[in-house]
Amino acid sequence: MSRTLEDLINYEVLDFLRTRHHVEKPHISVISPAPVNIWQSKLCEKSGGDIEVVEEDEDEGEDEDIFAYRYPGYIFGVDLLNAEVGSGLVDAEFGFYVRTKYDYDDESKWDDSSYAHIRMGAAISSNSITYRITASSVSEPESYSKEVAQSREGCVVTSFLVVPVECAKLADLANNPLKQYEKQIFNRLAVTALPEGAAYKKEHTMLCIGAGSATESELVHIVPAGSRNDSFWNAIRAEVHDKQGNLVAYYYPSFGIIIGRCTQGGRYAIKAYLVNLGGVVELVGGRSLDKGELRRYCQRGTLYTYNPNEGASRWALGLLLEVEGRLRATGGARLGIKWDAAHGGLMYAYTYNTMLIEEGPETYLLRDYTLVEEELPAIKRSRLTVNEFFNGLISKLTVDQRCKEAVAESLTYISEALRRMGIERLYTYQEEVIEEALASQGLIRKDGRVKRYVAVMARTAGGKTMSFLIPSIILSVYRRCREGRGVKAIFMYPTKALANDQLEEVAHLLYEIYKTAQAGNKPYEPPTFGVLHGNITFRERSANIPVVLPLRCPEHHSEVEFDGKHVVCRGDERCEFATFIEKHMKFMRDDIFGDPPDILITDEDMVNRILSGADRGSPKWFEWSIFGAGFKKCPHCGHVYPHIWSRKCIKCNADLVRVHHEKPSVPSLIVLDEAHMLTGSFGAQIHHMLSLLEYVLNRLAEPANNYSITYILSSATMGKTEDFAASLLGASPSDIRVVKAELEEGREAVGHKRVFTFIMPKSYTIDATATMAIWRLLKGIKEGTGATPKGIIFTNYLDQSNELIYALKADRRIRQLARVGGHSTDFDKDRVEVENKFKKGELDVLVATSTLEVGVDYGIVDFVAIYGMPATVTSFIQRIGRAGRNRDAVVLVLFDPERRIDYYFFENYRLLSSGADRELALEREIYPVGRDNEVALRRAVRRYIVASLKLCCSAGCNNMPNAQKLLCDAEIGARGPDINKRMSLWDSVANAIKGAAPLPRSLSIGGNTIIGELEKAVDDIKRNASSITDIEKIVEILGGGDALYNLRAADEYVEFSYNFLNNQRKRELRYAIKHALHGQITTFRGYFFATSSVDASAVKELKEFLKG
Amino acid sequence: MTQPDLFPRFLATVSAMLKGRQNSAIATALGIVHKKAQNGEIIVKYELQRVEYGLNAPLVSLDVLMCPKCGRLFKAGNRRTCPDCGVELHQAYVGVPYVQRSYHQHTIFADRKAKLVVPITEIREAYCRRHKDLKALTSRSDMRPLQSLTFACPFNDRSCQYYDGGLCTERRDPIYFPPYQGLSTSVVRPALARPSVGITKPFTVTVFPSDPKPETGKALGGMLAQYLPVAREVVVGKFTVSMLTLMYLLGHPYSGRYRRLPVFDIDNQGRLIFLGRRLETDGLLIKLDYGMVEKIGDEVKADPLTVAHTISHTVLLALTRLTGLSPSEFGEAIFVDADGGVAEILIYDNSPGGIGGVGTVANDVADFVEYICDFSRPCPRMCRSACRACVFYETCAFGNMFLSWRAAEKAVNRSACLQRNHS
Repeated sequence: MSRTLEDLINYEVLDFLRTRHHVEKPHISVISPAPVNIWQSKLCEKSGGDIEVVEEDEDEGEDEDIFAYRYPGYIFGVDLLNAEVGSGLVDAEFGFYVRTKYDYDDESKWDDSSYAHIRMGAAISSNSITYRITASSVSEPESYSKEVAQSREGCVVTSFLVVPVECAKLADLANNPLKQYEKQIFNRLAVTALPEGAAYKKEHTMLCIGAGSATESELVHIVPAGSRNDSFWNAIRAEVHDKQGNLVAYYYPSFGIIIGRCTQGGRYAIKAYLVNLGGVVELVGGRSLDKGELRRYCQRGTLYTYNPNEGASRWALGLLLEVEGRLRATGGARLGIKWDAAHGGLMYAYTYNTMLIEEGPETYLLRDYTLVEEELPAIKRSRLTVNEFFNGLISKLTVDQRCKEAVAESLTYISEALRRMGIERLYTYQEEVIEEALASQGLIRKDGRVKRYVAVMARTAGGKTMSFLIPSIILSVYRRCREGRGVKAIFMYPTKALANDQLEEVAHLLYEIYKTAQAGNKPYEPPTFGVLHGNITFRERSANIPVVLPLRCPEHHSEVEFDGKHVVCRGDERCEFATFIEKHMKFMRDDIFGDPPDILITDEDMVNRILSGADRGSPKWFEWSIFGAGFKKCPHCGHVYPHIWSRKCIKCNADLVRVHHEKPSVPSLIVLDEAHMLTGSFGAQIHHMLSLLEYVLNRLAEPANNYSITYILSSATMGKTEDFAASLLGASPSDIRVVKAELEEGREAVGHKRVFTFIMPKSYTIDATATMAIWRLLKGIKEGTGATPKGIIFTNYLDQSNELIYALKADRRIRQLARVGGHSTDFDKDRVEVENKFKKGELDVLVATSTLEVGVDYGIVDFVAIYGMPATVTSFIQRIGRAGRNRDAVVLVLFDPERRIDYYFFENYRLLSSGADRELALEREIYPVGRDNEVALRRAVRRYIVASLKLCCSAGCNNMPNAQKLLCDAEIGARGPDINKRMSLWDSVANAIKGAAPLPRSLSIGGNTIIGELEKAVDDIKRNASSITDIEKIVEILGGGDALYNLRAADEYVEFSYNFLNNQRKRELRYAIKHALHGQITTFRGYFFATSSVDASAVKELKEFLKG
Repeated sequence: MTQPDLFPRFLATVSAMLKGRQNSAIATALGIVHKKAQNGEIIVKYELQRVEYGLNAPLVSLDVLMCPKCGRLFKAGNRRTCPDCGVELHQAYVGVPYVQRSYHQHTIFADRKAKLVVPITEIREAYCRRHKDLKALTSRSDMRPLQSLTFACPFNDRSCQYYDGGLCTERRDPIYFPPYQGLSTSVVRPALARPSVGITKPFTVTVFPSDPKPETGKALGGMLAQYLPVAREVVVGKFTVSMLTLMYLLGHPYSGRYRRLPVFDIDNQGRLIFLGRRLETDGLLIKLDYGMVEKIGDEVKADPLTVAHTISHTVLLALTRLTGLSPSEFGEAIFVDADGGVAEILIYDNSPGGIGGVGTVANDVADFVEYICDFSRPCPRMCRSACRACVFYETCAFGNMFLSWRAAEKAVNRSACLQRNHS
């Protein structure tokens, strides 16, 4: 019988990482000694002992260990800030192992007798604290208990310790090592989280080496636990062997629990910690410790024992292993722990190195890893069948009779196609979006207020694309009937990978519609569609080089390529899908601009570039055909030109004077998918770009058409949706129609499940633990299913990705199981290549940065690993959404022990593992869109100027009959009129530009108004009018192309040159000034480089620089 | 209005960092900065245009590649894949200084030409004298890949006296690197590391004016003051800040903050070279009550700079969580003047013009203070002063020095935080 996913993770991953038998030391559930040697032995006095350094680093290893070694901390427990004992009892218990001798590398030889299991606990009542301890080796358990009386009011903090020191020494108050313990450990822990101003009484109970009965003083209770050779100490002490196998010493571990109870001013608190206090080394037979071991012991409280039978493999001593705890309140007592996801999560509890896992009423398990299963409820489906819904739409159509039939026919085909795809009912939210979008475009009747701003939220793989694709198809059919060809809807995606990915979904639905119509033997043409981004080229550039299209054939599940003449399906030469694609899809720039598709899939950067970028090489006003500007197409070679082009074709010399120009339709539906990514300076610039786009589209549209643009924002994660959408679109929150996917309730709710595994690497660095966890996961799944699992590992930074790829590839066990690749570069080309390899199954494990977290569907993904938490729940939701997609999946969350935010989510892991809690956490996340960012505004002004010039060419300039010809045909004066005429023209243009600016006039830039800034920029152009020969020159005057192209960041760019790769890239200045000093290391394309020189355009003496 | 002279504030900030830290490498470095600043021996390069990166910079050598499959080592050239295995080559391990103790006073100048980070080929035994080529590098144990790293024979030369089942036994000890030129004292030891950007961490000081630009400031009081009583005045507004990268801190990628060696860039006239940037952006200015800062400092045994810096990190952590923006989107600047009794923090959007990051505080004070409460709680690992689990901030300008979580815990009104929970 195959194992469940939970079993697999438990046995293969978690048990492996936490077992006490793990080579050297386990990865998790480990507590290391305190960073001071409490019970200073004479051995350490000789070596200088412990040296206290202010702000000492406590979390790094020693010498050769430091590559991967971490100290996980010496405390494990909790402060309860709202607990009340009342007349009941609060019980705290901790269990762990200590190593008593070396173990074996080989799993089959693991030696259980190499460990002692310890349990320490305390029962806390209103007037007493009772301790207990059980130590068991294989043969002999030992137990002690001690009751500490305590008054009902006030605070008491006590400790119960195992101290491998002679009892007599502890009784010597003048020279008591207890003072060191109090100073270094106890006093620091005791005051934490006590009510303000609370004084506390302290008391220590110590099991020590010696015989006789217990003695008590006001402060210390000394409990002799027998001589060194008695069973208790024998059970827990460890043999220390050197590399040759000689027994050189015994290591007596020291540990304990600290328990506090407090009632003060109506506030209650309980503290329960397990602490590791290191240990005491006793040399055997005049032997000595190796110098390195001695230093490690004296400075860190740990040392190694060596197994001579395993090539002197080493085993760490001094650690508490497989640490767990349990808290329980009974008899009316309460722990007071509260969970409130709307306010951050865990309340009234400070945890230390542990999670709090609720086991039952007032019972919590303490441990540093957990496994949570989440069932994914299905999204609520409509009660209407698709037939009923689309028939309903037909009955609501308000379009003119001429096109009504075409639209109705199209609706019928869509309905039928959906049924063929197995969709009997749409989701309720999809129906809402379709109706709202169509109503806002005036195609159907709808009761109530119709809004043209729609924000759609549904989880990943929840059918969002369908919700805006269907109205786009209907709109396209209608407007094509009325206006002919041209773009009707633009889908914008924040990455190229996403645009490519969505193309497939669009193509497959349109193909089904096409097939449906074909089956009915009716002459029907579904809308055309196309994809346009930086990687889409002109035909001439890809001549004779087959281009693999970014979609797969749904009939043969094979790749589809364009061989320069025809589209070919690699699965079947006569494939109907290939024929459909050739006829209906535009995948070359020439085709996009020369025959704009009804539905255009693109990215924001491309829209910005066409709208207001410089035209390198030849003038490309014709690109505006996608916005509805007129164009001419050479009938011989197909090259595209602006509609006013009155010369010959520059490609084939054909005469274009008599060629009739076309006026395509103007897009009226704009979709911004994965809209949550449009934040910060990117969001700010998108906001201004959309204003400019709307201005341009309105100018290009026929006023008689009642033209209005509908916006659809779509994402799985948009907290504070109305506010965010309003700020991005420049609308009022009340103008936003928010449509959220509802979930099914009851029996139908069963969907798929995700198995979350939360791990906080403790004793090694995250890459070391991640490598092990990934290896075990791959091994487990492969052994269980026989198939190589597919997974994505998300890192937060490119250098992390680099380093993890390095670690995974270097591990031969992983290499034997899976092919690993990933984002080791910022270069788009390489990134797309590696993503395609993963998609095609040529890679099994993909190490990715956040760029992959949105939207892209990679089909079967068995697991997602989160390598360090992203800053937001939004990103987390997006990342886990890559796995599963209609199947069960594993989500392996490896918290980064080097980052504070990871500890936050470690404590509040439930915010991540529960869908309802994730929703609440999402609502608290703000997506700042800095609309008043001055850099964004300055760029918006300049983009507006360039766009205005292009608009002159496309739609004409007001009151300037000559401007259009001068600007466009003569390429801004290169072959145009003389200088005086040009200057005069610029005066006219400047006035026209100033008059109609779609800029946020209420905002200012550096104390200047927007219009003032605009006038300044226009004046700059006028001043330089004599030197202007083309649009590039204008862009240069306006501050350069980079600034206008760059939507992503407001920062300036610095060129980075990498000599080994003979390559350059641009990086933001804020990165450059921190990584460009001589010798500083940076990373690029998976390699590491060091600065050899830096050029700056300004140098000043420090004093002068700071004078301003 | 002209920019105020920030030079005195820069000197005061450096002085505040120096106070009480005379016996550390960073203090030595800051002492040099202070002296050279006064003597006019520091130049600032700003408006950066181009940076050249190589594998052999003055202080760093990263020019050995390794096949992850067979372990063979190659000097960096045109080769990117292993000729035998066909797999992509990676950069091999490098030797990085590891400083054992924090109170030694090493400061390195980049003109010394000392190779502080050396490739694995610096070990004599890395070259096979018989085959006059580089050996391979392999782990003897999968479970201990680093500790068991050793040289192997890529030539499969069974006739070699050192050949032992594929391993090269010319050297059996763990791989270490030679001591570094100019660093011969025993406190600096070489250690093994993979190449990483974490080897050279920047140390940056941002200087800012004490008030926002006229007519841009918006005071935030009320709730924020209730939760963070040490904040005397909180203002969101426009600021022009001057960022200066003074040096970088060299060490093992996981080296602690006080175990790194400060490295300066200097020109041939002996002047220090700083990288500078002037940035006009949105800022959140917090003017602290100096009396309270001193009081908190006395309670937790920390100086005012440490208290201010810790509060700054608490605010940064809360802000990162509130906005969902990455830590690199924010910058921090601290100004402490003990003589004048002034302590100020400026948290700013690290992009020209601001990106709406710090501005969100003004719109969502309630959530912001909740996060302040969350991030000022005791260290989850109960460390002594500060660690990665509590008040470290990923992009800290000061390499996460001068921090104490106990200061953060004292700075917030804990009762208010708990009452917030009750509500």
